[in-house]
Amino acid sequence: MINPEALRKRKWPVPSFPIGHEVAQPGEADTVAFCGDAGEIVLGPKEAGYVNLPFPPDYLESCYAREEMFTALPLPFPPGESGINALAKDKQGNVFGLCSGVKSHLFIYNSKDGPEPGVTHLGTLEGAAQKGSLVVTADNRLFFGLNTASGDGYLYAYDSNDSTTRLKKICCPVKGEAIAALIADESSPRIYGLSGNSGTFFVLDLDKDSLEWKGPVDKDGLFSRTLTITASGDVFGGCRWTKMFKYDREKDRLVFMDINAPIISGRQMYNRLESLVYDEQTDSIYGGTSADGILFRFMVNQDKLISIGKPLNQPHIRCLTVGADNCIYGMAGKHCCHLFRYDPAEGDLRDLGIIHVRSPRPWHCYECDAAVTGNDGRIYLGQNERVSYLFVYSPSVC
Amino acid sequence: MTPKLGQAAHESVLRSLCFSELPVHDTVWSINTGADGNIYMGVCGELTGGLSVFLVRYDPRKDQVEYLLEVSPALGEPTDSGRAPHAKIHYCLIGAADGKLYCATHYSGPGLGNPIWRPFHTWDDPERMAEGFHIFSYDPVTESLEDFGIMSPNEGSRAMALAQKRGLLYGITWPRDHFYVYDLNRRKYSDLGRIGDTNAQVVWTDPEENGYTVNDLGFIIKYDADQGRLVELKARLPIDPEAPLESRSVYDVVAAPDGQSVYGIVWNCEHRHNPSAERLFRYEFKENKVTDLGAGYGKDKTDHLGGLVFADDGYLYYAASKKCLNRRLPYKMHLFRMDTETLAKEEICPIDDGDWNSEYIAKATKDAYGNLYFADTNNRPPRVYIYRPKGLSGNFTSSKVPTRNWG
Repeated sequence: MINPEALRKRKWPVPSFPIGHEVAQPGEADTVAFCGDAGEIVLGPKEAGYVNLPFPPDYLESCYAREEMFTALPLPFPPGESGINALAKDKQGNVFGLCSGVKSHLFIYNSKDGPEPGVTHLGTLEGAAQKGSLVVTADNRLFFGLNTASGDGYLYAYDSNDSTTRLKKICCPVKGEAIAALIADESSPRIYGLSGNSGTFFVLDLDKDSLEWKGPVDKDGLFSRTLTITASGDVFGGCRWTKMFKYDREKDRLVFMDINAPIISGRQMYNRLESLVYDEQTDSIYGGTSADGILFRFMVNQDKLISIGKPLNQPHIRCLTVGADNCIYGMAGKHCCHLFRYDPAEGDLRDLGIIHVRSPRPWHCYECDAAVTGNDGRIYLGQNERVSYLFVYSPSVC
Repeated sequence: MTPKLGQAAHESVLRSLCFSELPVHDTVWSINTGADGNIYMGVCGELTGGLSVFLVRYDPRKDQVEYLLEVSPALGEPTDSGRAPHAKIHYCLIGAADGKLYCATHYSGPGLGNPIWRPFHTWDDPERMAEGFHIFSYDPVTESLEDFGIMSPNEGSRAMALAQKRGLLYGITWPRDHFYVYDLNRRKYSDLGRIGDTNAQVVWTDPEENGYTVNDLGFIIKYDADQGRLVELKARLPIDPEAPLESRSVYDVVAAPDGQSVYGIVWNCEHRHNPSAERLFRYEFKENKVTDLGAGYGKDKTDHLGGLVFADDGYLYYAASKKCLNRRLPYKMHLFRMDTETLAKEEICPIDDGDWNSEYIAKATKDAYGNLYFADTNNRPPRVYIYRPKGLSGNFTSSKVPTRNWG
């Protein structure tokens, strides 16, 4: 129990604007305008002794990316099954997405066909999955793999010509293991991947109908669940913690490189490579780390890696894509993601803010795990929450 | 002469409790009746930096106010830490049958010396962020607090319900709008994921102690306690036909005397964004049926409704706003009541104690005399308005101590 006398004697903080019966009426003498905490202007008595604590007038909106640059597209899947964790683009510029949760759903977004652009459901797989990988092969076929909680993880193909079974089970690349990551070669019909537990690197040759295993990239399973591929067909990923490996296509072998992604000193064991993307213009791989959320660039021809920095004071660089303007766009953060941009020409790393729209309903994008740039330069961002939207970002609006 | 609260009333009485010992606090967001018949309140400070919510008790038998607990320091977060203090107990104060209170804390008040605070701006800033809401119990007899710890970093709890037989608390986090379940026996917090964007302002229960709330499109969401999962129901709350947006949620819910249904208020999810008159509804559990009971007042496009409570005369009382532009919030609150048989609505009086006409009423409760308590917000010092309907006997009947197992 608190003694009321102690409360009466206490020195309380001084308010900075009037409320309730303190608010003065228009026309009253000796009034002054104050700014309330919702940005509202209220009148109060001039001599009332409110403390002056200025704050930026755009404080409330200043955390958001510019809303007019985003479109939020609803997904035709129930809550708990709509989290997008993979996006890919085919040769025609169609954008495909994979949602996982209680079930997994494949969808296509086509901005050109139909009376209204939107998301079309292509198929469903029963059974819970945490994450998926989605790739388009050199011959423009769509494949995906699921990171299931346990048991065999299968590679599936989408066949638009088969009206009965559009999602076809192809194979389980590593028996008893899920699929952690996939990447497709853009010049030949090959798919590369990592298995979920042992991190076994596998090569699926679709022409030869062959599957080869190149061994685990880390014997203790401390590998990264992301891959990227360069124009020359070499595949890059993370083996132990932040150390990089390469699958040398010409020599057909894994190379464990003496190159590490940047960390905050002492924190290597907490980090993995969380996202990777290849920029053909500069023959560079851009990547981001998990626990420290540091963006880096690896110059492939020079075998040189540089740290770019942290876009946010949060962990995680969750996804990356190369924009049509040659800037790198990505989503960073945990539970409160921000969109960021890195302009290599200017060396400018810039936080663009939290994604928030008011249409078709007021909606924040707190978690985002997939990004791809469309042929038209628009960037597609996959929200990954219990209720999720596909966001389309148009950098050209700015 | 104005009769005291415990006396028989031939005429209705309206007066207020003013918490003058908390001169810069500004809002009473939570109010509920304890098993001991006392009224418990969370007196909040969200508009001035460096204030903690206080847990306050009003004993209607003694007409006495007692300040029980300064919550933020008691939970280990001093008000001068620079971080967002536990400035509020929002709709998360519940009296259990054993006399204890179960509470969850909430945010939006700035740290000391700051004029404003929002969670997005301080996420992962250890010097300014909200550490995350606590769930705690408080025993008013022993004056002991049991802190169950931080539940979700950066977030507050907007609304909560107690499923007493199951030993569970159901709630909603702010700002991310996740539904949570806290198991009091196992001391386990479970995040069931996001349900919408703008929070609902209430979580309620059915006789089997399943949980209910409403997403920001007006669809009722059920937490099936046996199956441990959320179910999006097809039942949808009505909306003002002139509302510019489809957005809607729920502001307040009160159990119907039949126990098989509830009456509630449709919330327009902030009048600035979706100016529309808030409405009354009834929801029947077994039928999963929503009935639109129309506007509570309906004359202004931005009507706010709050403070639902059934009185001993059988009427459903509530507070409704009339427009008043010369205020910070454009409202003056008036007391109404509805006959739930005929659905006739009747204006009783302005909620005005002679000193101030309430600007915004949040929630309401009732004591065992039959007096109704309306929690007021946006005034310094904060206050609670007490209304005694005409014709009450003036007897305090412990068997009539009302229970509401949600905030």
